[in-house]
Amino acid sequence: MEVELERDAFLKGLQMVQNIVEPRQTLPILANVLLEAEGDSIRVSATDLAVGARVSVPAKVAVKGAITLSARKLAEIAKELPAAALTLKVLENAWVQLRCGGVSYKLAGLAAEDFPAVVPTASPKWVSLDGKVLKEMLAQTAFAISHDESRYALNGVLVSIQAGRIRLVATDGHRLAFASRLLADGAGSASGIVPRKAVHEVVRVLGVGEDVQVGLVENQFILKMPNFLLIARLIEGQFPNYEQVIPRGHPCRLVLSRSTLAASLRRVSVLSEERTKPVKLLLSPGALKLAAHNPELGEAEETLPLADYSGDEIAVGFNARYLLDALGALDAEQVAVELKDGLSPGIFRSLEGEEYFCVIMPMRI
Amino acid sequence: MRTAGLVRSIIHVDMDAFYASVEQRDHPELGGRPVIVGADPKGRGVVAAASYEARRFGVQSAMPIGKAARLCPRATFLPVDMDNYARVSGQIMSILSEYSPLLEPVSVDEAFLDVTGADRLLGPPLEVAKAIKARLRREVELTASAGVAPNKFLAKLASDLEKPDGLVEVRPGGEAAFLRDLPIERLWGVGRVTAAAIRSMGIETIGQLARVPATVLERRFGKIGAHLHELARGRDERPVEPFAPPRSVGAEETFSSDHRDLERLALTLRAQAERVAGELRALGYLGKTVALKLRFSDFRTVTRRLTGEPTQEGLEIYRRARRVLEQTPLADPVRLIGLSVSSLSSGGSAQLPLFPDPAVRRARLAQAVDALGRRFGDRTVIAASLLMRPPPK
Repeated sequence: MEVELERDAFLKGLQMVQNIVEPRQTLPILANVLLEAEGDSIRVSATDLAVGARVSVPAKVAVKGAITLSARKLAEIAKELPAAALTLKVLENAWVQLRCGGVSYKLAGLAAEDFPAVVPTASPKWVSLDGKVLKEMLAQTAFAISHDESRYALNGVLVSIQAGRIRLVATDGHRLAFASRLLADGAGSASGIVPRKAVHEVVRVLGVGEDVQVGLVENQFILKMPNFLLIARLIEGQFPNYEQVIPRGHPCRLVLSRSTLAASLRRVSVLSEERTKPVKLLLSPGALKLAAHNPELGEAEETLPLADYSGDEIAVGFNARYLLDALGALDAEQVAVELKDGLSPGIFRSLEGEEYFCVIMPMRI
Repeated sequence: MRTAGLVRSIIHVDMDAFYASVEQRDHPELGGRPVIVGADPKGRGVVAAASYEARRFGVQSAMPIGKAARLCPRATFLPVDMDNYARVSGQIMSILSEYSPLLEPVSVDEAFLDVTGADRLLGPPLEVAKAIKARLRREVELTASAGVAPNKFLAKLASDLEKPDGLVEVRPGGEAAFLRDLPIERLWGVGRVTAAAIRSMGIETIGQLARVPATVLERRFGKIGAHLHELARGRDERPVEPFAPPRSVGAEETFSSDHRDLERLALTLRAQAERVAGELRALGYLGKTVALKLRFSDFRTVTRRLTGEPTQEGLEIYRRARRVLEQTPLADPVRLIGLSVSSLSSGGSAQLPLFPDPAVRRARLAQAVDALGRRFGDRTVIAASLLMRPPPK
């Protein structure tokens, strides 16, 4: 293999796949990226066996071929190189020479044949999306992914394509985030649980204004952009029946300013117990009171006027962190809060734009 | 609460034949008669406590109940009434807590008190111990034995020396004389195996052991050697800790022969998980992290963890340990397997679950199984997969 390419493009390519490489691997070769030169580009691939990504970087290919090199060292080198053309040349015994201007490296590689392939198991029915929209939907749900390793079906985002809509759902068993959008080309139906790492990688690499294609096939989630491909093994297991826990017809509905409620929650929860951050919401005609107390520190409360509420009094406790996560994910300034009583889940809903809501289970207070 | 250079005053209070004494107190007709509290005498459980009248026949706690029945057939056998003992224990601890905020209950019927520097307030430590014993006799109508010493180890030893209704003081400077002729088994942490090893060095008494240089003991017994040396010289720096929640609860087992049969390993874990879960429930803790420990035939030891929601359920603990086991390559046969649960917290979470939680029903089941175990013996209700396993020794 012998290629010439621009340092800036190479660095950008490496950075798009580099995070896939785990700091500690089960196989030494997984610390490397695969470089494949052919045609007019060099393809850079990384994988941890569960999530893999591949990016194409324009290159002048003198001799086609493939090799693997340490992902970390290659990125470190590319970062320090001047913005100029660089050459990569495979020597004997998997040694690689990298030159850029007057700099020269001789790097120990590993043979490309041993690198696990980053390829789709089959061709999916592609769904086209605006990259910005997908990024937003993932960010709106990713925070609710469970960190409980013993409930692995919750360690990702459920992606479901059905009846011309795409729905993303994540839950950690205490709260649930749901985002849904109409698809332009709404064909087919498929669903799968995309692991957390893939979700974060997609959010990281997605820019604005690019069109992306996503597909679910057998046990894989695939994201395709013109020069980029990400393949994630879907989480096996049964995502809980989330629809049954989405409350319908809560008697009490408030419309609040998102920023006012969030600021008040932050102020009051300063005095909540650190671990679970309990905050009490006391709803009465004309007012919403937020209160927190801590036997060691004291008490805090704030009253927000509620001109249009004339229903029953309701007292309900929530983890303030869950409420702030939900409010942070809502993009509208006006939010609807639906409550029933101290033991029923509350819904936090966007009043503008596309369908998005969070269901949050109360705390016993 | 370690205070460098200051001689501490520690009192160890130990109730005499606690369960049996409570029963004798509550049933005056049993006074002066042999009373054995524990499992059904026709069953396979053990003695929880024996009154001093029963001990004269050779009955001891933890002895198989059937053996106790043979030794002392005329004894009155009573089931363990833990609720009642816990209530009485609460009264006792409340009295003790009036003498020092540094109160460390060891179990329902014994506790350490640190009364260092309280002479002016309460009088000398020996007088404090006398006052405590008198109040327990008057207000709870039970006798206790007490030991007064500069540290926990000696105080515990002293309380045991003249049971029942004993009171022994080890004064600062008198440690060596006090320990000199006691057998080595009296040392904290010396069981049958260690005692035999020490005996093989020609050492019978603590006084003899104290003369062996620390380096010799360390070479022979490792870290424990240094500890033994300190104890034999009457030194023990451990503070009285008013509330010391356990860091973890665990169980482990060394196989009689090394093997790598996954199902057999899993079965051992299943039993250990039940034992650990029972202990967690008894202590009132839930744990988040389950750690699996494996020691291979070459003594290489690995520990792998899995963290999840807080739990105190045997099945859930087993599932996590098993998942870790399945991910661990068994390159060599396994010599020892164990699991432990850590990141403990008390009580359930105030956070309600979004999905109907099967854990709530399973928790109720576990409580019922515990109650049956307390009443009829530990293996009354067990997982079917464990039926073929011999009971733990």
